[in-house]
Amino acid sequence: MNKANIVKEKHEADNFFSQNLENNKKKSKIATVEVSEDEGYSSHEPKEKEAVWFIDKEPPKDNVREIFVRPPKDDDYGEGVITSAS
Amino acid sequence: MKEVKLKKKLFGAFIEIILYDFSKKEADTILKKTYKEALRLEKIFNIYDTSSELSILNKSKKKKVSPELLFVLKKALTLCKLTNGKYDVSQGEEFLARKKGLKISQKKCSYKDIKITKDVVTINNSEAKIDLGSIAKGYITDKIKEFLIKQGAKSGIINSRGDIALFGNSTTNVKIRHPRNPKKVIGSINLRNTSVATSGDYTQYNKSFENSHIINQNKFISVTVIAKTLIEADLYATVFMICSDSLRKEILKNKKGLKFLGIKSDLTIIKV
Repeated sequence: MNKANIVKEKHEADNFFSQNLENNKKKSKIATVEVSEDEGYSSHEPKEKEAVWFIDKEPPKDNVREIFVRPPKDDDYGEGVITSAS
Repeated sequence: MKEVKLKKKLFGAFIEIILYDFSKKEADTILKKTYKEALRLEKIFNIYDTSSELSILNKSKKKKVSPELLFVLKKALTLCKLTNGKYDVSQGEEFLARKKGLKISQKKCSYKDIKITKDVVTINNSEAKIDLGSIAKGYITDKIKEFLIKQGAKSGIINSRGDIALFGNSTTNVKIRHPRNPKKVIGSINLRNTSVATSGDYTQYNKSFENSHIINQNKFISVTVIAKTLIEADLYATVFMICSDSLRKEILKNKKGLKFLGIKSDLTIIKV
C-alpha cells in the first residue's frame, strides 16, 4: 500500500467515526427523556402532601409525637445570657 | 420508634434534642461534639455577654467579623430594608429597655447606620446597638441540626425553647397555644423535616400585652411560620408581627415553602 492510499483510508476512517458520532448524538437526543423538576421533587418521586392546619379541632390520632411551639419567655434565659428577642 | 431524649443548657436554659437513630451512649457521644459547636455559636451572638463578638462590635463600632455573624447580619438587614425599618436590628438598646420595663427616649438610629464592606462591619451611629436575637436562636439551631445530620443522625427534633426544628421522616404534631388562654390550644399541624417558630406578645410583656417586647407590633398577637430553615421561620415570624398586610401577602406569595398562621387581637385567624 502506497502512502496516498494510507492517507485516503485514514480520512475514510475518520469520516466514518465522525459520522457515527453524529448519528449517536442524534439517537441519544431522541432517546433522552426530560425529567421535570418541581420544587425539588423529581417526577418519579412521590410529592409530599401539603400540611394542613387543624384549627379548633383535634388532628387525626396518628400516634405521633406532640410538641408546643411558642415565643421565647423571659425565664428562658439565665442572668446575663439573653440571646433571643423574637 | 425508639428514641433518645437529651437536654443541654443553651440560650440560658435547656434545649431538648430527640434522636431516633441511636442508642443512649451513641447519642451522648454525638451530642457532646454538637454541643461544643453550639456553645461556640452562642458566644458570637449573645448581646448580654460583654465578651461576645456582637458585644465587641457594638462597643468598637467597627470590626472584621466572623462568617457566621456576617451571614446572620446580612440576612437581617435584607428584612430591615424590605420592611422599611419596621424590623430594625439597630434598636438593641430600646429592646433591652423594654424587657426591663424601662422607657427610654427613642433612639435616633436605624439599620441604615450599619455598613458592611467585605467582612468588616461599621456602625456609623453611637446610639445604634445591633441585636440579632430575633434570628440568632434559629440560626444556631439550624447549625445544630446540620451538625447532627453530619454525625449520622437521620431523624430527630430540636426544641430550642419553643422554636422547633424537625428533620428526617418522623411526623410530629406541632401545637400552638391560645395567646390569651395558655391552657388552650388554638390549632396544630402535622409536620416533618421542616422548622417552625412563633412570635407573640403573650410571653414577654410589662404589666399588659400592649407593652410586649415587640417593637412596632401590628394587629397580630401571635404569628407562627413554617419554613425550610429555622432562621427563616424565626425571622419571618418576627417580621409578620410588625409589617403591613400587603407586604406579608407579597412575601408569602413570592417566598415558596412558607406557611403562616396569624392570630389577631380579636382572635380571628389568618392562615396560609
